[in-house]
Amino acid sequence: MAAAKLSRRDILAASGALIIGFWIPTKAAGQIINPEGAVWTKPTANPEVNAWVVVAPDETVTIRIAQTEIGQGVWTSNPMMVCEELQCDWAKVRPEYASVNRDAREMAPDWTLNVMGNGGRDPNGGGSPDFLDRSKTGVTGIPDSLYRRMRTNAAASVKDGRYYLQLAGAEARERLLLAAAKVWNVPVAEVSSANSVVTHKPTGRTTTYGAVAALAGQTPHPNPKAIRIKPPSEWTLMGTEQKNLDVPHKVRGKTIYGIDVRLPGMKWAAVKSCPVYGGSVKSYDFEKVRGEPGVILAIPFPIPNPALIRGRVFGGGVAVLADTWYQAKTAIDKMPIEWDIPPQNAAMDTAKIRAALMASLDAPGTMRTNIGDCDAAFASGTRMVEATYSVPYLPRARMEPGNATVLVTDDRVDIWIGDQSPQETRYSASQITGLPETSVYLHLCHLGGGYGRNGNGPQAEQALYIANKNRGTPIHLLWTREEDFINTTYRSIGVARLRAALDADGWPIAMEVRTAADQNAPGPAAGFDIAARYYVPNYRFSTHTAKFHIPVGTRRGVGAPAQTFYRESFMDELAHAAGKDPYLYRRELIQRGNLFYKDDMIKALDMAAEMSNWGTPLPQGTVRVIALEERGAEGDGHATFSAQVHKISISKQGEVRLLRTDIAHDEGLSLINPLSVKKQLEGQNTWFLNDAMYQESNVVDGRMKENNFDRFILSRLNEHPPELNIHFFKSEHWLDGMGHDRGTSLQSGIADAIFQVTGKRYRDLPLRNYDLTWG
Amino acid sequence: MTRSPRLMKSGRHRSRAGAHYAAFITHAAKRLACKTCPAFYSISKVGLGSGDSTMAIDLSVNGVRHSIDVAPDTPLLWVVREQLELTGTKFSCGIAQCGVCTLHVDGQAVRSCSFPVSAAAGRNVTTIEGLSPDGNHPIQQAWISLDVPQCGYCQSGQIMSAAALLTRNPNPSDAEIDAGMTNACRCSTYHRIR
Ligand code: FES
Ligand code: FES
Repeated sequence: MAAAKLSRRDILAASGALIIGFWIPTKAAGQIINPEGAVWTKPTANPEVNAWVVVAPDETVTIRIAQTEIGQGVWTSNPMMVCEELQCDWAKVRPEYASVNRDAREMAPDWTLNVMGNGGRDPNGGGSPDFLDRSKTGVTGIPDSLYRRMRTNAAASVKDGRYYLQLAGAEARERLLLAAAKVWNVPVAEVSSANSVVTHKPTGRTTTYGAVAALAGQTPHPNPKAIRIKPPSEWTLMGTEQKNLDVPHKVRGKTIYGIDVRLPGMKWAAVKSCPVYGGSVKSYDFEKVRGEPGVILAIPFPIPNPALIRGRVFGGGVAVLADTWYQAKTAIDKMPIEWDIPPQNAAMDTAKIRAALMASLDAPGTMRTNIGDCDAAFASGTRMVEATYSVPYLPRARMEPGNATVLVTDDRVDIWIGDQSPQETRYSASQITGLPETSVYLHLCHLGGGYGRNGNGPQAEQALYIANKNRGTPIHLLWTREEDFINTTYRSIGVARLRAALDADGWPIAMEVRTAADQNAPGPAAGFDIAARYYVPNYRFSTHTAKFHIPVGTRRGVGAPAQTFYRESFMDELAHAAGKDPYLYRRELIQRGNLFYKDDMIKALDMAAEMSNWGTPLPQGTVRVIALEERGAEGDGHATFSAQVHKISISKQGEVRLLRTDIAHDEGLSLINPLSVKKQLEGQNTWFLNDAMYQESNVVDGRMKENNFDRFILSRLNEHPPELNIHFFKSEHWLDGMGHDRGTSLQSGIADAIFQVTGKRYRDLPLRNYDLTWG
Repeated sequence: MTRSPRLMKSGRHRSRAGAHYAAFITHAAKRLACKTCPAFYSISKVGLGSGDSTMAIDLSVNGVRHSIDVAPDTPLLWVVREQLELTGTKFSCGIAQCGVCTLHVDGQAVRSCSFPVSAAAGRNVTTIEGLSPDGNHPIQQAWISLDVPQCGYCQSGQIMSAAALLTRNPNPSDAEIDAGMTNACRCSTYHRIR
């Protein structure tokens, strides 16, 4: 086939399209390609008021966001926090991502380093930012770079970001007021603003933010450390339900996710990574596919450097590059590949891993909490209850498969990616290409789901490696669903053994909790540490670990989902053993204890019970179950409490149906956007229904067996409860986050419903593996 | 045919604002180009698949007729996303399980990741971009007023499924909604979808 040769003139004539410029790869790509629906940092001709705020002459307010939108609503709640203080017109607010490159170049203004108030319980106070030591990898805190913590994790976007986002808005407002005062030549005390309009109070004269923004950029506040932020009692926008600002684009298919990025001259990479972690490519035969349509070349890549991805060891692999992704994928599917697999890894399976964890429960472990004398109490109790539970490995399985588009030239790196931890990726880019971090430009996209994937995956590292070997050509790497299941960390498999001695009335006098998981599993202490959530005079909690080759990481809720399953299941078992109502049993034990927030915990239980008509009769085969969900119950700082009641039926054929969920949820001193919180609670209902009933990842011959949505099951609309009620209650502390560890009660709840209806107790998730028939 | 033996180290490519996909830059070096639509043209066949493995397929997408040179077993999803650069239709499982790739072929909801483009020849394909002229289909309006999307990745597919369902059955019962809306949503926006 002859290559058609057309001149530029011909093209112009043929296309009738507007030519906006030639693509020159060494130029800043991010400044050229800005489709509608792109959310990354865009250049602007308008001067900024400060690093967070740009007001255009038409009054549009651009607010720069340093967290990533993964469906949790930061695209809306973060601007709300700025807008509240800025006092601009919310209808004119346009978020965009903050520049990750600029964050590498500029230090945080001094005034943002001023944390006000007393953290968790001070209504006037700031948040609780994790001012950890600066780490060059970006994994932990970055206390002094411009946008600070650009990570999106631990449900902490509000907790860690609120005070300085409010400050950023307040500082910008003060500058705008000063600028207006300067224009009018009046004292700043005489001007005020609302809805982007500045008023000179004595004369009633007005101007707008857009009119004075340029001057405001040149008018710093003389003493910015004195600027105070508004406490919740003064909020007018924060705390109200606001629709998410990204929704209009999302319903029209216009949002540019990472997978949608298109660049001139871009080539696509399809990838195969060694399905056994720690393995790499031994050989591949590109000659077999060289002649396939569109195929350009194959390029092997090593095991991504674990030092760049929190020590996790994935597999090495090979990529095929082609003109379109489907061509690349078709070719790589046909290309023979042989793997070098460490035999000890290939020999692993779920049964061996579980056995090793069970064995670790009997080894000493790490004693975390030891109150009273459990052994003596165990010897004196009238009855012992003991149970062993387990949870499987679980991936996040976000819907958008991993991808990254990278262009490396000799003087800069451009990356288009949905990324929950762009400072880490910036560091990876610099390490892989040898260019300084100040030459790395990340163009952030919204993610098609996150669920805890911050810093967890090598899609950027793989794409950077390939693009660095092909400098000058933009490479869009896209995983298949199967690759996404390989190139991800997993929530660790876990086991737990709980033992309690009960007194003659059925109340626990001693309890021992031993949990075991991978040695690198994050959050091992959640839900049990420091103090028993349910009072018991003698209490012992130890964690145990073993080492496996499956890379583990954070997943929605981190340690809480497994530990809440263990704890709340055991409370149900104790209540049944005592012959007491599981709601009142819990309530009484919390009441007997002395946890700082016990009143809030009781409030949650009482409210959920009342909402659900707890105790009223139900048809045969239908029951109600209750559980407490907590974060921060062990202390007196930030905390989040909720209780949920689930109404569940089990048919005689063993079909489990969630009929209704009632959620009583802490709103702390205030929520930011209650609508986002409700959506998160609705979403977590299904998330943990799936964890309870269906999802598991099994290791077979060292690899994960469930690698697509045929074997890894996602529930559908038909399983969502027809009734879901959410009520909030006020409390006197700031929340410890949302969007993350609620709904965990579905796990213990469904297991207990099965027990109540069928008489069968299953302690190993997921529950679909069992015969649930009865009658 | 000619094929680059390795990636171009440098080279000039032309950018233009694509009228077809609002303001989105399409590059001129279309490998697999539409013969009839002025928005998609070919300046070079470099890298095009061999003549025997591709064929011209005529189909209409969002009311625009295209003739596309492509391997006939290429899933419609990839023709829509890659050749036509309509990226509102998403990819996730590739095996007809999840529904994020749902679009309409002659008004019927189809999982386009598993639907060969050859089966769409001569038919009318509608994607999320073409569901309504102004992006204000009643379902899109309802989705906005209920603030349905979270991450949003599955939502094009959900909306296309809902549109097909409501065209078939303007007043579905709960059971009919259950049966008609089988797309997965990992964020679980099911509460608001119903
Ligand atoms: S991508 Fe087509 S059904 Fe999942
Ligand atoms: S909105 Fe995220 S997958 Fe549906």
